[in-house]
Amino acid sequence: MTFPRQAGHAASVAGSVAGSEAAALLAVSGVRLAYGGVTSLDGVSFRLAPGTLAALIGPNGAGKTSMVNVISGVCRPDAGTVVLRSPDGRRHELTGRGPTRVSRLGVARTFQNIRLFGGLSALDNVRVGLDNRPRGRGGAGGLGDLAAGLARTPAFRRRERAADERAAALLALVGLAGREGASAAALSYGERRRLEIARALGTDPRLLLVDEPAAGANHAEKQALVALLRRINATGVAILLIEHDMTMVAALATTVVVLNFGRVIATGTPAEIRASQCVQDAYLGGPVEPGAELERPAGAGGVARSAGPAEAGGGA
Amino acid sequence: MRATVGASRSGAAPAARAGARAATCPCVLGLLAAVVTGPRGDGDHPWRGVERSVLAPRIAVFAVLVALVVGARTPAGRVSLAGLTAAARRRLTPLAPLALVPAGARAGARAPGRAWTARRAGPGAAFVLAALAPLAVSRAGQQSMVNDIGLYALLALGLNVVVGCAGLLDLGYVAFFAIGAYTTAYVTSPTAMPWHAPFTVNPFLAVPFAVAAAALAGVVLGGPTLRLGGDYLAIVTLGFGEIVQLLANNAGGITGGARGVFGVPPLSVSLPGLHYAWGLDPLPYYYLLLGLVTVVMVVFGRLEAAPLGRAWAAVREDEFAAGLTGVRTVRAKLAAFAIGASVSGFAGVLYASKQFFNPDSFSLQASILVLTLVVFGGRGNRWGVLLGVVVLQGLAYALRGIVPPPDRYIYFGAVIVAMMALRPAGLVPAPAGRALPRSGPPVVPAQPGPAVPDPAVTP
Repeated sequence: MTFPRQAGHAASVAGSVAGSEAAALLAVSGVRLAYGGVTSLDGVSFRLAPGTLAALIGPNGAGKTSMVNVISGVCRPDAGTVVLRSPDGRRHELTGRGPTRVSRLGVARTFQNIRLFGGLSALDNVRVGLDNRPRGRGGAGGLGDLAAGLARTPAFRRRERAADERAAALLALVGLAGREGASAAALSYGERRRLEIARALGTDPRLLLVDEPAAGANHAEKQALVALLRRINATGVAILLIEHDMTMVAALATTVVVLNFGRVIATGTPAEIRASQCVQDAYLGGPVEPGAELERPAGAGGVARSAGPAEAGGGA
Repeated sequence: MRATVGASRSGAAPAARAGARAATCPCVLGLLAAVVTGPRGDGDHPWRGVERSVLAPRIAVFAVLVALVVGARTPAGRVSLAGLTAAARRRLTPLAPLALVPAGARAGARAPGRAWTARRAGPGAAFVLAALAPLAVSRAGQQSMVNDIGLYALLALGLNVVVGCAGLLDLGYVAFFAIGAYTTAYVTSPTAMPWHAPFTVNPFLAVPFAVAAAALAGVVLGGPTLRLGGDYLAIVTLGFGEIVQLLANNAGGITGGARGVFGVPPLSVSLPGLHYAWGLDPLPYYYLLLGLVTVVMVVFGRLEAAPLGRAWAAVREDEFAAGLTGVRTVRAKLAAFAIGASVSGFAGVLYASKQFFNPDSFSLQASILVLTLVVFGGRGNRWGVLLGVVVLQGLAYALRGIVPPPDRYIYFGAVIVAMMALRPAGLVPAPAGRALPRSGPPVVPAQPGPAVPDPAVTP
């Protein structure tokens, strides 16, 4: 089984993810990203429906985090587009916008390695997200708001109190009620993971990218996390979960996109993905003939990596 | 084998050895400092330098500091220090302004009704104390309270926004002070500098000019450089400070050069029914500065609690994550730079209106001094910064008759080393942020999604 055939298989099912592009919340098409000689993403295309609960899986080095970086505006792809569609039907090209604009358009993310504002309290971490919602949706900004803050006008106080309450509610949602005043650096590992989710929700996103939230979590914590992500999804927030653990993905996602060597090798429901031979091969190391890499077309990416069972370390 | 022997030894002896080792270094340095800074011996009295240095009272100061630093680092010292700090905090909480920032915030969160008094009692007490303090000191002391404490309090509070709140290292902060002072000379007097404006205004009316010029300089400097990382910014600001001082020194046809600026009119108020001019008496200047520092404290307190203050903190803690949380990082950093610069420009107006200044006042050393005051007091905590200014500048004043002026910085250094060892985050470290919403914690989630039964993850 060679990679070009797998990619072809993916192309045949790509349409099933979110129907036409007009109906998709997020449309990724033909995204290519190379770091020097290493091609991290090689023509990735998929679509997410509004309010979906999707998962992006793949072995280590498959390009999952690169994909998140491209969507969230951290990396500018060498080719391809990422388009977000707002509820009023307007298309927003996300590529090249920069992370701040992408966040303000309604795409929030968490980090594989937790990045909180350690010197701030849990409440203020969430408040930073709430302060930076798009202006129309309760965010602050501009000289008028600055003047209102200096004068502490009644409207300003009301807005601050409402935002504080919303922040406390989000903390309660992720199970951090009562920890509002603790500095983020003093929280436990699991609490910090959940605080990241609360901070991301503070920006009032329509799409939440969750990058390996279950890393280092035990079985019970994973269950709680699954329940939390479902609760968040039930409020209308679409979720793209980046995860190794196939059991968690199967319990949660309705749609799964599988990446390997920077290419989409399969797309479908968890059941379809489990049954897919090429996914099993990617994860467990299938019948890779000696010299299989050499058969791949020139420029197909992954040239600096080695394929093989040694690298397939996923939790499948 | 040797490792096992070493490991099996009891902990006390190595700890003592480590303590002795740690003590040796400061002892030798202290001795060296004492000898180097002491009076020189000469051929007739070869030992005089050593006698006057090592036996001088200053060596006792160093000995006490060394004992403090080393003692605090031993396990026993750590325990007793923690106990002392806790005891001090218990005793000071109700009245001391330094303990009030966190305590006040907590009290405010718990009892909204009593929050008003709790939050204002400490600052009020500090204000009354500051208002009464100059009446208890000599005229020279009052002069120092104006020049060394009042002005530097303004500068340090401004720099605290840049360094403490937004986490940007600015090594040329005094350049904005210089811009404020020279702008004041430009618009208030036709004779102070070779260059002057076609009009002259009262020094109070020079404030908007000076603040605008300093803020503009901050934006112009910050615009291209704030996109860079922290180290670049430090170097660029260092260079900017040097450029401004060199310009002031060398552009004799514009600034008057090294001979300085003389004859900026003193501050005065001239309204119908009210006429007052600030003269040579330091006391009116002091109260003016007290008022201004109070205003700056209130304004910055509100800024820190506003979205902009949180954006600064987010940028300081993790700029990358801040950007991904929607914070407009460049804009927030520019705002910090401009606001810090404008306070510095404001201080420049007051400085210029004291009749005389020259480019020496705007040296790198002055920038470093302001930075030292901020770090010493506690980056990001404006009450701590204020206390740092009072303590360090008060120390400089107390040392003025005892120590030759060039030596003063050695004592500064010693005090700062002691602070680094005992209170690494400053005299009064910044609190970690607010605890609960002011109205108390709401219990109901805002958007409680439909209750989803917790599905077992299929193994």
